Amino acid sequence: MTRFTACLAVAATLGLCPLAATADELTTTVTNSYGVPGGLIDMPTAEMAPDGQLSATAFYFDGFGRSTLTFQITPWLSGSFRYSGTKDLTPQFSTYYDRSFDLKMRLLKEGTFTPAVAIGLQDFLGTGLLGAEYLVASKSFGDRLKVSGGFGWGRLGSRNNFDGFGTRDPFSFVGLGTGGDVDTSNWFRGDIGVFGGFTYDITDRLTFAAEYSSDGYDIEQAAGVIRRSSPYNFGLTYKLTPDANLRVYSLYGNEVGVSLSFGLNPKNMPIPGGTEQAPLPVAVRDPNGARDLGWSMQPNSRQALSEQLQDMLGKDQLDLVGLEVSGTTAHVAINNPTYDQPAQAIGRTARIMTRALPPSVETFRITFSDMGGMPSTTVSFQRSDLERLEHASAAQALAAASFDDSLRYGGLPTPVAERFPRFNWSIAPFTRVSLFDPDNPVRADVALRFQAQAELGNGWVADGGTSVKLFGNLDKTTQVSNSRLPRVRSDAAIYAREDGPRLDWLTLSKYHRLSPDVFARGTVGYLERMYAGASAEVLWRPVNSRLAIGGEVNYVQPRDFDGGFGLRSRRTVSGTIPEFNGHASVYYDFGNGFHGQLDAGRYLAGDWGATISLDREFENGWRIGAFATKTDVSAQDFGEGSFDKGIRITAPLSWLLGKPSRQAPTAVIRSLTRDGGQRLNVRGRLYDTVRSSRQTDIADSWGKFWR
Amino acid sequence: MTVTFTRVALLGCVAFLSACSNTQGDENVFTVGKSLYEQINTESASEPDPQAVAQVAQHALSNSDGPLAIYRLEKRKAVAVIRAIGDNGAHRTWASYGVSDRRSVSSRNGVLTSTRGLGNDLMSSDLSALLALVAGRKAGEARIEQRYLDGENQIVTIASDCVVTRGDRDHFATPGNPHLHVMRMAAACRQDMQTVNNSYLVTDSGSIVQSRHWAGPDMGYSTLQRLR
Repeated sequence: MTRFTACLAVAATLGLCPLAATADELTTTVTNSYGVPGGLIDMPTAEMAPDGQLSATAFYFDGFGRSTLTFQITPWLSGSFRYSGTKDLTPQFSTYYDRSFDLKMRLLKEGTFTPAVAIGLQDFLGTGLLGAEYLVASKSFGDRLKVSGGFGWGRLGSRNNFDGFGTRDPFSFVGLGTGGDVDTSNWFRGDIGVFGGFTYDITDRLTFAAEYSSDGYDIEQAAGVIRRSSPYNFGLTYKLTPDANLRVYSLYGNEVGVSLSFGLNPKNMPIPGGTEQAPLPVAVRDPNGARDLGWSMQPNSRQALSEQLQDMLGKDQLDLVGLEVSGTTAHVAINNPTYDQPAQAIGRTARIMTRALPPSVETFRITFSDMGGMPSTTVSFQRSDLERLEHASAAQALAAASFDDSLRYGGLPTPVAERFPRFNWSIAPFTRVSLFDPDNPVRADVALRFQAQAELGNGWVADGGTSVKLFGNLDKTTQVSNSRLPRVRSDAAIYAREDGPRLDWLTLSKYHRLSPDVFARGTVGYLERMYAGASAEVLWRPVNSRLAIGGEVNYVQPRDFDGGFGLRSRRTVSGTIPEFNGHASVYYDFGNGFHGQLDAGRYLAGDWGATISLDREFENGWRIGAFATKTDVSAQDFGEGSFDKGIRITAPLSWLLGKPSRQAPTAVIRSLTRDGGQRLNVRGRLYDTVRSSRQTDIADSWGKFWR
Repeated sequence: MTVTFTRVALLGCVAFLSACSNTQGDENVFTVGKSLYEQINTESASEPDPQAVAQVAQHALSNSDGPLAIYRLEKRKAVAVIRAIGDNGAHRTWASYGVSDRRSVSSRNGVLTSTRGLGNDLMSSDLSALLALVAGRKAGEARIEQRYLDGENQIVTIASDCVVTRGDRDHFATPGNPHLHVMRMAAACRQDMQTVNNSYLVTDSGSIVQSRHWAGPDMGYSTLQRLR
């Protein structure tokens, strides 16, 4: 088929009269060979995944492998991160590994007579081996048939093409190793290819796909790793579950490929509302009892109340920290180690108070007091409102609650006897992972860690963790750091060499309230695996603000590689590690599920710059985001990747378990750790510590107040 | 004693590579696995033995005082004898009799208004208009609201427009009162996606002694039947 007939064919198909088209917005959980939402094979479509969908796709055909993680950032924007390997592509490597990022944006939704239209950037950061841009339209006809066609540049403009605008620099292996800069000068330049295809649902589970590919696989053909004898690709998709698909392909006439994708949507909690035990019901007072103040005359009444509250709160896995009771007001300070939804901790405490406190007490105040007893936010209720609203919509109880910074009440209620010091410990296995080492893309150690924490009261917390490596291959890396900066992180492999028990951290911290809305933290000791020293931080976070501003200054000394108590010289082969680093940070909760953070300051290697992070946050605790750090280090000095960037995913255990838990491990996917743009990993930074106990987060979780 | 115990526990942790902690809420790969296993295995519930339920009911009647009822979740094949654990105005909260596991349901005039700890819980209901018609044994139309949590813990409301109709007179027996005169009432409640058919038995004084009431998309119909 000549390029023009193909062009006409696509145009004709798109122009067909719609057959009872349904406007289902063309969403799909199927991903193509690049792991991007869409039912075709190597070619993109204008389809999107359901909002929030996270998918992992593994694709393989003879010597080509692509692993892709895709996130549907908004209903109209998807982002993908891919790690691809091609065997024997260049003599330099037996398998040429390459990272790439894609974005696909839907410009137009599908209408009754109009197609959905999307624009996409493929491999727009990085080395550009897969680099392409496209404009694609998709239309559904009836319930089963979807037709797509579009124009492609770069890789997607290498066949069936016509002259476009300007010229495009050809891909070259020269200059590899510093990729990572955004280079817009080639976007939508050069020849324009025409591609198209369709998918047809044979049954609810089985779908057929056929496409005309405008990708010539020129570099791969030149290297002799593929022979492209036909532009036509065919595929069969079998839906294993609504979120998992197995696909087999016939590719370019000679090849057979296969892909498997798994999806997960943070919005779809397995058991909404959770399966945790029921709260105690509100105890409604006898209307005649409210005036009786006789109890308050009795000695030991506070002690007795405190014991009773402690016991009842303990059964709900909450912790009484302080108590103040007068004739009509009770103020309870709690530590919440359990509930990831802060409103649930408040709701349970409030109900327990209705059961434990004498009838004359009408005003309830509940103060969040985590981190060794640092007061944060106080929530107040009238007891009669709780009695009245127990069976009403939670929104009414929210309207009846008031929120204040705890310092406006002159601090914490008197600490309860024997609350401090308290010791917590745990032993658990964990893994430490290193990604994207060209010799071995995934390396990991499995270790057993003992960690212990002593809450000493008054905001003092002592915290430590030691670990023993059980097995793993992190120490096997042969990559030698060629950093031209002080070796602040790139010696990670040397740290991994020692098998014996190592001290991961051992710190003493003091959390302190400087004034209403202002928090402070000081930490000294072995701050993290590689550094010891001292860290001081201040955070301004009003009780009901989306904005927070903070600052941090650190004094560091590098630790010995063996993970013991010793320190080593700050001098490294490529420079001296500065003693001081620090940042000013701005945090902003955009309120529509997006959260931004900007940190600017001096990094570990003494480089100055800024880190920008943007996360999509789900109210159930899932967070998916990306960050990038640019400092005054040149791309050459930085080394591979040009600047530090990565993706992070926080998965709340409560979502998976269907019961409350404040544990939410974060996985960070980033390039090989370099020395530029590295921050100190001090534990217990203020923002995340304080945030869950401020009004914004409490109100966002209010659905669980009565749960 | 505590020291010895801790030491033994520590040995256990290390020996079996299991994870342990002195804090209850701590989760790790092993507890997560166990918890998921339990979730999967509770779904294969079989039809409860009516004989066993009757025995529990008998035990409850002779060994306790206060209100008792039988609660049934049809779709989950679950039945429990429940006892009242608290009253708040017109609402009554119930928990399983003889079971320490804290799960509860609440009702208003014998009709389910909320559940706690059952998974996909019904968080609250506004049934005032419906209950006024049913208890008054009057035909008519009433709008009700039932609230749930979605996957992001946000409240979602399912509103239904109910058409209430009167049915036949009937008898209802409780162990304490074998000859109660009741009237059958039905409510066809139309939602966005479906219509559910609720039914109620109402005494002449307006008490609902038995209700079969739609509890939610995941739970389906639930039945609350007065025992005492």
